[in-house]
This record gives sequence, structure tokens and C-alpha cells, in this order.
Amino acid sequence: MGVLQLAARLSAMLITLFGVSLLVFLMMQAIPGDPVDAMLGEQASGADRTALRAALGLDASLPEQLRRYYGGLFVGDWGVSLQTQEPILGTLAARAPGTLLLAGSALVFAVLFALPLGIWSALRPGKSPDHFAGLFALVGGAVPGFILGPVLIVVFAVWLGWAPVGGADGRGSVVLPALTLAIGMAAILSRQLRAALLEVLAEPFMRAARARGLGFGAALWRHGLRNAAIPVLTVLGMQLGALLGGAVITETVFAWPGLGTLTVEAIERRDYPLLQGCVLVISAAYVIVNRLTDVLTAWCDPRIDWSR
Amino acid sequence: MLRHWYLGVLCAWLVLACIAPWCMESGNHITLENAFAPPSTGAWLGTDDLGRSILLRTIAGAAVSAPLAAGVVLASLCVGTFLGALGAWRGGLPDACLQRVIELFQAFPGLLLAIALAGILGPGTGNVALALCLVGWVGFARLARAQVASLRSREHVLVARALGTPDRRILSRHILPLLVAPLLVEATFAFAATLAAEAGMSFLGLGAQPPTAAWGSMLREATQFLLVAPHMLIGPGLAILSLVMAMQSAGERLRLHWQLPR
Repeated sequence: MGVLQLAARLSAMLITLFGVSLLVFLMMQAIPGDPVDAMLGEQASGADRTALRAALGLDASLPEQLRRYYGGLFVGDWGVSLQTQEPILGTLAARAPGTLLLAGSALVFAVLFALPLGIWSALRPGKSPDHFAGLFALVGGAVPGFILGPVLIVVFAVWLGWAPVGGADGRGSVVLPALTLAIGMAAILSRQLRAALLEVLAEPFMRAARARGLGFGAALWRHGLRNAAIPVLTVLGMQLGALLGGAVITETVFAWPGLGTLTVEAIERRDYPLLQGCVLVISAAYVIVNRLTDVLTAWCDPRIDWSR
Repeated sequence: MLRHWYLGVLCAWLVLACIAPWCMESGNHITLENAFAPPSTGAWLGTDDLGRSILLRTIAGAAVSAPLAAGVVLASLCVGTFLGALGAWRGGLPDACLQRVIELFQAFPGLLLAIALAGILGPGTGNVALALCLVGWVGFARLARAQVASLRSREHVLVARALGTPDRRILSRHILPLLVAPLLVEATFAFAATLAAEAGMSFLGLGAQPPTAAWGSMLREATQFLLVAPHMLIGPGLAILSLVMAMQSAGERLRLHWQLPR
């Protein structure tokens, strides 16, 4: 991997980030009618309207608004929340660790589920372990967080009392929301791992490794899983990105204080500047995670042509 | 027979969606003294916080969620295929622009974009459908673009061009029929994803407003009473899960049947 190619990839990412921020800006122009009406209600006084219009910069022309928007983005002035009057960047920074903790835990759970399940079903294709894994993938891949989450709450929090119902105060409060996010991810990962492993297990180099006297377990670990890891890694990155979007609903189910609940709060309170910040941060994280996975995969797999 | 379980589920929901309009009124009938009744022979899935039958409301919900998802997928299919096919066929600057727009939309987590759009447009089924369409056309455009780009250099298309066949006729008679299989598979998966997304947005309070029975908003009500009436989850939960699973299985089966890549 050359430095030049890495730089090219990163600059492509910057262009994407620019496009994403532009789309978010344009999205805010789609507020039907007058956004000031939408935020203050119809009964607001004329002075209030003028003040809010000036505070939001809506009195300026569109190019001027765009210039201020990007000027603010770069110097870290993302505006203030209409509801709390606090700086948006600070509010986002306060909530981001919650989402990061949740996504990180979900990732760990998903890999812990998917690894044994994928290996198990690839070693016994068409047998009962494979059928079980297939059923898990079918149900786990289809069940949305707003169904799985409440079911987990009823079983593990209400009936068994093993975990708190919601919030982030109690010990182990991250487990249930992380599990909710992890199941769907594990379903896809385990299928991907199964397919990749089946392909690798049929490769001549696996037979060669066995012929050299390597035990089955060692051959699987050193040659099988390493080669199967590459396509799985790609999917993992895509899933981690999707997880950031899916967290909006799961965080709401568990009242988890993260960027997802902040997004929903911003929508409910018609706090459009805050909503803009939320969408911007989550989307940027999505772009960066996907691009990093790209780089990581290419770094792991020397066959991938970097110049393309 | 068990291999084709999804056909049974889909047929059952088709029938239920047909009788749903008759369940709407009785599903909204409030009897407060029956509130939170657990499942029994009288009310198979129990009643909710206002004593309304969850079974009737679940059936009524089929007439809200399924047609909305179908409409969104159909609109996305038409717009996406038209733009994607046209871009790949014409090439040049419009195609390059289309490609950038597709890449831009794919740089977003789709569900977040739809939620934010619906949040900006305001609550209501129409706005949810609009937001889902704005996000949904991209997948079809990408697929149609890739397919047409590879089909346009196929021999039968080259022959048709050499014979002087007008573009419109080549596209409609020689290219579109070959797009049907991959687009249908994509549409099946898109239906499952749209149904789940719509329910998710209704769950957040963005979709159908009370007292309309939509599966997502029923789950939203159910989560408020988890401690007293966990049975409220069963009806709408199973409805969404069964339909999403059946659609995904049907798509997978179609994909294998036509031997299409993932």
C-alpha cells in the first residue's frame, strides 16, 4: 500500500463528506412552509419571528446561508440548539460516547455470536447445525430492533430481572440494547462467514496444508479463517455503519442517551439545527467507517488492486 | 411443503389485507372496562390500553402498512429503473451526474436519512412514504444502470442498433424484458426493508397518527405498557416479523431460481 494511494482514498472520502454535508444543508431547505412558523407555531409575535430568523441566518440569501454553513462547520461553530440554547457541537460530543459504547459492545457481541455459528455451519453444511444457523440468520436478519428490544426487555428485565429496563445508569444496562443491535448483525455475518469458509475450505492450499501434516484445527485457524476474514471484514464495516443508523430506533426503545435518542428528540421538538448536526455527525461517521474498512481490507488482502 | 411456507404466509396476509377495511371500525371500538385484558378465547391477542381488540387492530394494520410499502416500492422501482436505464443507455455527462448522486445517497445510512426527512416534512403516512421513496429509488437506479450498461453491448442489442431500430424500441423490447428478473428480486427485498422501515418510523411516531392502527404505532403503544401488558407486543410484532421473513425468503427463492448473483 503506497502513501499516494492512501492519500487518494482519503481525498475521495473528503469529497464524499463534502457531498454529504451539502445534502444535509439542502435537506433543511425542504422544511415545508416557513421553518420559523414550524418552530414557533402560528401565534408567535412578529419580533420573535424576526429574532429567530436572524439567529438561524434565514434572512440571508441561499448562497450566503451556504457560505455561513460551511464557515461554521470548519471553525466548529455549529450553531445553538433552539430548545436548550447550548452549542450543538458540545451537545453532540456529550452524547457521542453513549452511541460509541453501544455500537462497540454490539460489534463485540455480534462477532462472538457469528464466529462459532459461521464456522459450525460451514463445517457441517446441510446438517442440523447448519439448519439451526440458517434459521437463526432468517429470524435474526428479519427482526427489527423495535420488536426484538421490547421482547428482550420483557424477558430479561421484567420477568427475570437480570438487567435494567432502560437508561444507562444501572450496571449492565448496555447489554440489552447492544444485544438488540448485535442479533441482526450476527445473522448477516454468520452467513457471510459460512459462505467464505465453504469457498476457502475447498481451496487446494487447504489440502496442501493438511498434506504437510498440519492438524485440521491449525489449518482452519491459520489458512482457512485468515482467508475467509477478508469478505467478512467488508461486510462487518458495512454493518457497523448501518448499525449507527439503526441505533436511532434501538436507543429510543431503551431510552439510551446517545446520538440516536438526540436525533429523535430534535425531531419531536422541531429543533432543526440540532437535527442537522445529528444527521451530519452520524452520516460522517458512516462514511468514515466504510472508508476505513475499505483501506483495512485492501491492507489485509494484497490481491486487491489499489490503483483502481 | 414446509419449504414453501412463505407462500402460505403471503397468501394469508393477502386475504387479511382484503378483509382489513371491515376490521378498522370495530378495531377502533373503545371499551375501557376491558383494558389490558390478556389473550383469551374472547379476544385472541388480548386488548390494549383502551380495551380495543389487538387482533382486529393487527388485521386492520395490514391495510395501512402493506399497501404503503407496496406503493413506495412500485414508485421507487419506476423512477429508479427509468433514471438508471436512461443514464446507462445515454452515457456521458448525465450518466456521470447520476452516478455521483447515487454514490452520494449511498454514503448515508438509508434509515437515518428517511427518518430525518420524515422528521423535517412532519408526521403522517404521506410524508413517510415520500421520505422512503426519496431514499428507495437509489437501489433500483444502481441495479438498472449496471444491468443496462452490460446489456447494451450484447449481440442482440448491437444487431438491433445496426438494423436501425429506434432507441425507445430497443429499450422496451430488447432490454427491459431482461431487467425484469433482477428488478423483481430487488423489489421483493426492498418490500421487506420498506415494511420494516415504515414500521420503525411509525414506532418513532412519524407515521400513521392515532387512532389509525399501523403496526409500528401499535408497537409504540405496546412499549409504553410493557410492565402491565406485555401481550400487546404479540400481534403487531408477529405481523411485521412474519411478513418481512416471508418476503425475504421469497426474494431468496426467486434469486436462486433465476441464478442471479447477490
